[in-house]
Amino acid sequence: MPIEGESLEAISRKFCDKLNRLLAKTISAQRIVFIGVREQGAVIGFRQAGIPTTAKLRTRFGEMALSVGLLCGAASLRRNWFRLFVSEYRYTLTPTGSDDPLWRWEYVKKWPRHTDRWCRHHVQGNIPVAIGAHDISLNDVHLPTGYVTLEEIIRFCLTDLRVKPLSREWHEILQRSYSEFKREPYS
Amino acid sequence: MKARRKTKANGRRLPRLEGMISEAQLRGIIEREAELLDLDFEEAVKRAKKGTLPRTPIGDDLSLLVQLLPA
Repeated sequence: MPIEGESLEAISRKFCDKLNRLLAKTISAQRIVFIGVREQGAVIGFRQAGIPTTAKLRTRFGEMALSVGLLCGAASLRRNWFRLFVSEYRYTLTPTGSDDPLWRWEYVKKWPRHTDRWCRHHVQGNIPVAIGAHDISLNDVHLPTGYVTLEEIIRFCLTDLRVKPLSREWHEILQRSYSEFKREPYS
Repeated sequence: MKARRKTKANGRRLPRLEGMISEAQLRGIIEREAELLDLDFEEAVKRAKKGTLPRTPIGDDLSLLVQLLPA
């Protein structure tokens, strides 16, 4: 079921509520909020006391900070009725004490410059990569991915990073949410 | 304007804005977040467009907020 409503505000709020319910039952009570400007779109992310913030996660490798940023728009379906779409996302995981994210999953609907040709869905990170005799960083390339949902980032945190789940039904909650979102704002 | 409460950040009181805001309020948020990175408004917008803001939560947020400014 797509996220639809009578205004950008209504659909942004609905999306935030959904993500907050999902986070609260899986990995974090940190709240996601939106900032929207009429006719322009909305930015969704963790924010505390007006400042962008992160969800602190206790992983098997120590504390890591999860950052979520989504740029959303409202596609008009008919008079006073809109559908939410995501035109950009960036999720990062940064170990505490590190300046640079270890992983950053990104998507842009449109390239920033008309000459850009890199993969619009990609993962980067402060990770050394050896290619033959060449040593590069994963930040130097745009390693392609599919569309990455927040559900998959949460699943990665719970399974591979072994963050303690906030409910026993986390798998079912993620599955249900993923199958709903798969058909909606991620176009 | 939906200034729900105020808090201190970087020695300055920041209005907590959420929900729908005006363009002027958006500019105010961008300006304040830019200050946290020791940048001014113009420099932050320029760097956001070039993709050279720091890879931090504030840098990422600024990159997205700048895209809400009218073209």
